[in-house]
Amino acid sequence: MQKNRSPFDSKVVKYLRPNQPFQCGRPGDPCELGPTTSGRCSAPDGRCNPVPSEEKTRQRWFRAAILLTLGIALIAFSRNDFTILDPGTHSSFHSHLDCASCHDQVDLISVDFLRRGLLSQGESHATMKCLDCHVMGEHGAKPHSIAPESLSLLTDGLSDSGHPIENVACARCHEEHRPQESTRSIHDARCQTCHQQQFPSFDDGHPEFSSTYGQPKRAIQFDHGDHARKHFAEYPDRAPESCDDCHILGPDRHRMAVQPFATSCAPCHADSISGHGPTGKDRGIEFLSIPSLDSEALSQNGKDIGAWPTVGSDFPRGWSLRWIRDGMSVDTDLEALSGVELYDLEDQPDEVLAATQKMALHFKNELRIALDSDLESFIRSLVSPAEEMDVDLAQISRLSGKLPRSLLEQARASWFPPPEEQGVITPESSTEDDSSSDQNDDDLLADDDDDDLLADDDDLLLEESPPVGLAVTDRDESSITRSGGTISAIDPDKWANAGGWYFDAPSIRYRPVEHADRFIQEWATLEAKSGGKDPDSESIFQQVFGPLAAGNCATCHVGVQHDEPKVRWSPESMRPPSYPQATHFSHGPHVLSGSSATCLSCHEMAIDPHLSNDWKSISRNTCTECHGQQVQSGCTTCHEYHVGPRSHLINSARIDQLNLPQKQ
Amino acid sequence: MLNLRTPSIGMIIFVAVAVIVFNYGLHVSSRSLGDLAMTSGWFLLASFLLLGLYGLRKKLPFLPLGKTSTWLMLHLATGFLGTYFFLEHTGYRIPTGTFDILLWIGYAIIILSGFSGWFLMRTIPQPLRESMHLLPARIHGELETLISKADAEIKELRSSAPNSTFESVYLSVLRPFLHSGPGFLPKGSKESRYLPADISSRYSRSINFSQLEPASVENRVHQLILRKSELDRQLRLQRWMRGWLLIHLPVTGSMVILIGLHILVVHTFAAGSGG
Repeated sequence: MQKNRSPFDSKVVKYLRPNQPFQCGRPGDPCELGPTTSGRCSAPDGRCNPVPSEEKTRQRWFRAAILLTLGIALIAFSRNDFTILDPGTHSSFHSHLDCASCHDQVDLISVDFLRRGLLSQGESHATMKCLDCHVMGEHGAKPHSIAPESLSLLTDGLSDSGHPIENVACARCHEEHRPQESTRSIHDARCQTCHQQQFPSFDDGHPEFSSTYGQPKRAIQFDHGDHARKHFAEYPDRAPESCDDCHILGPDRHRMAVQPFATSCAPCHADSISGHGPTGKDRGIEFLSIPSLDSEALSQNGKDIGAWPTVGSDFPRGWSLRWIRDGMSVDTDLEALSGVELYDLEDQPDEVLAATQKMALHFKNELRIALDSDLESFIRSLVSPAEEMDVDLAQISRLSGKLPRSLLEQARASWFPPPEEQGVITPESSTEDDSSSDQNDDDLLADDDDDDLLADDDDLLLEESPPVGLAVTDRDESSITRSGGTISAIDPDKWANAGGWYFDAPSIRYRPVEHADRFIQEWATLEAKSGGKDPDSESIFQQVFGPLAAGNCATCHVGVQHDEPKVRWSPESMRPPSYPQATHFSHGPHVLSGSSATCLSCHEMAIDPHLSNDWKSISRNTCTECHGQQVQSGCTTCHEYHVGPRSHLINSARIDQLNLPQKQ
Repeated sequence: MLNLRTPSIGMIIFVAVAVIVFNYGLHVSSRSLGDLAMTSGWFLLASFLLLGLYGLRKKLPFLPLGKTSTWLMLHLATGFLGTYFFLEHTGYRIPTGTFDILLWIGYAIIILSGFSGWFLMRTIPQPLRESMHLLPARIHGELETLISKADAEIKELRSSAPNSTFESVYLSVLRPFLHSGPGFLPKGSKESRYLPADISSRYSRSINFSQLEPASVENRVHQLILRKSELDRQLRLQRWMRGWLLIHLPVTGSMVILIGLHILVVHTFAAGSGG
C-alpha cells in the first residue's frame, strides 16, 4: 500500500486531512504551505484559491438547513395558523369541529406556548371540553362515569386501597386524529389497567359467566317447559309453531321482547282474566261495602245509628276501612273494635258500642260527602295519604274506573232508604235531599202529562233505579213486575259479565274482563308503592291483585309485589335494581345474521325441575364457539365502560334555541 | 459486494436490551392508562440524541472515548433501534396532518439516507481502492492536466494531418466529453473502462479505436479519453460515498428544529390527565 501512496496523501501533506476546513485549489502538485484555516492561500503571492473541504461543505449545509427550517417555522408560526399543526383528520364524529372546539388557542410565538410546552403543562382540562358536548353527568370524567363512592362499593380492591379515584382523560382511550381507527375502539389493555385479572383473550381465561346469566328475573311468570310438555300438547291448535310466535326482536334490536298479550297469551288466557273460563273468577272485586252491624243492640244501649241494612259484609276492609279511617281514632276506636263481631254487639262494653256508632255515622257521613263533592275528591279520599299528593288527575281518572255517581246513589238508596236516614245524619244531609227533590220536580221525565209516554207510571226510568247499564240488585226480591211483563232478578255478577261497575248488595263491585285493566293496574301499582306506609294498603292490594282477586293478575305478574316499590308489569321491565349495566348482549346481530343458529343454539331448556328457571344459564362456551374464533372478542364487545346514569343522554337542544319568530 | 462486519456481542445485547426496555415501557404505560405515543416518543428522542453523539465524537477525536469504529457500530445499532421506535411511534402508518407528515418525511429521509450511506460505505471503498488512489480534491487537477494533454496531442495531429477525421471527431464528440462533468448515474462498464455508451457509440461510428496503433496520436488521445471515463467514475463514486452525508446531516439539522417544535406542540395541546 505504501508504494501506491499518492503525493497528495494526507500522510504526506498534513493540511489535506479531512478535518481541515480548506484545501489547496491549485491544480497539479499540492502547495506545501496549504491554505489558512480562514480559507486564504498561504503562499506569499497568493497563487491559488483554496477550496472548502468536504467537512466545511457539510457544516455549511447543516447550518443552512437549520437556519432555513427555523426561518420557515418562524414564518409559519407567526401566522398563528393552527391548521399547519393539525395532526390529522378527525374521526367522522368530530369532522365538523375546529381546533378551538377542543384546544386552547395559544399564540404560537408566545411565552405561554413555550411555558406550556417546556413545563409539560398540557391541556389538563381537555376532558372537560369533551364533556361540554358529551353529556356524561356529574361524574363523567371519573372511571366508568359513576360516582367514586359507587365505584368503591363495587370494587373491593379499590375501596381498600385508600387512594382517591382520579379522573381519567377521555383521550386515554379515545384517540382522536387517527382516521384509521375508530375513537370508539378501545384496546383491552386499557381495561386491564384496573381490572387486574388478566387473561389472553375471551376464549382463553375469561371468567365463567355467573350461574344465572341468561336467566333474568322475570316480571312475568311463565314456564316454557310446562307449556311445551302439557298445554301445547293438550291444545295443539293453539300452540305456537316457533319461538317468534311469542318473541320478537325489540325496537332497539338488542333485546328480545315478548309479543303483546293479545298475540302471545290471549288465545289461551283471555278467559282466565275475564272470568269466563274454568280458572277465571266471575265475581267482581269488592270496592265499597257496608258492614253488617247489630243496630238493635246499639239502639237498646242508646247508640242509635238510624237506618242500617240488615245484610252487610264483615268488618270493613280495604277501601271501606280507609274511607272511614279519617273519622276514627286508631288508638281507641279501631283498637276497641279489633276482633269484635259487629253483627252481634250484645254484652259488648260501652266503648265498643260507642266506637261502632261512631263508625256507622262516619260511614253515612262520608257517603253523603262523596255525593256532595266530585269524583276526584271521592277517589282522593280512598287513596293512601302517603301517596295522595303525588297522584295527578290522569291517575285519579284511572283509579276511579269512571265510577258513575248514580251507582253511589243507588248504593245509598239501598243501604239507607229514605226517610230513615233523616234525623241521624248532620243537617248537611237535608240539602241534598231538597235539591234532589227539586230536581225531580223540574225533571221533564216527571211531568204529569198523561200523554207523555215517558211519564207513564210504569215507566222504568221513574223507578229508583240506576242508569241503563247498571245492574239492579237486591237479592231479596225474586222478581219485579213491569207493565211489559215480568223480569227475573238475575245474579248481578252474571249480569256484569262484560265487566265494569255494578252494585251487588251490600257491595259496590268492579269486574275486570280485559288484560291490562287500567283500574286494577293503577290501584295495584299505587298500593304496591304504599306498602308499609299505609295500614290498609295490603288489604286493598290483595283485593285487586291477590290470588283470589278477579282478573287473576297475580298468576302471571310476579313483578308486582306489595312489598316491592319497583313495580314491573311488562316482561322487559325486569332489571337489576341499581347495579350499573356494564355488560350487554345484543340479540340483533345474532338472530339477524343469517347464520344457521336458532334460539336453541344458545338457550337450552332445563330438564331439572329443581332449577329456579326453565332455561339453563348461558355458559361462556356458548359464546366462544364463535367469539375469539372468527368473531371479535374484545372487552368492549360485551362490556360497557360508561355506565353512569347519564351516559346515554343525547346532547339535547333547548327549545329557545329554535329561534322562532314571535307570533303576531 | 456488501462488505458487512459481524456485529459485536455487546452491540447485539445493547439492541436486545433496548428493545426489551422499550416494550416494557409501553407495557407499563399502557397498564397505567398512559399515553403510548408519548412513551414511544421519549424513546425515539433518546435514540435520536444517541445517534447525534456519534457526530460529536467525531468532533472530539483527541478525547479517549473509544474507537471510532465502535462508535460507528453504536451509531448503526441505534439507527436500527430508532427505526423501530419511529415505526412504533407513528403506528406503522403515514400521518395525515401537515406538520406530522413533514416530521415523518424528515425522519424517513434520515433513516433512508443513513442506511444508504451505510450501504455505500460497505460497498464503494473497495472498488475505489482497486481502481486508483487519488484524493478527490486532486481529481479535478488531473482532469485539467488530461485535457491539456489531449489538446496538445490534437495540435500535433493537426500539424501532421490537417482536417483528419479523428480531429473532427475529437472536436465534435471527445473534447466536449473531456469538459463535461462526471454526472451522477453509473455510465459504461468495466470492460469499456466506464466510457459512456453514447460517447462510445458516436466515437466508434468514425473511428475504429480497437485497431489504433499503440504509438499513434489517436491512440494516445483515446487513452486519455478512457482515463477521463475512469476519473469520472471515481468522482461519481466519491460523490455517492460522501454525498449522502449532504442529505443525512442537513435533514438531521432540520429535524432537530422540527422535533423540538413537535415536543412543544404536543405538550401544549395534547390532552392531559383529565383534569
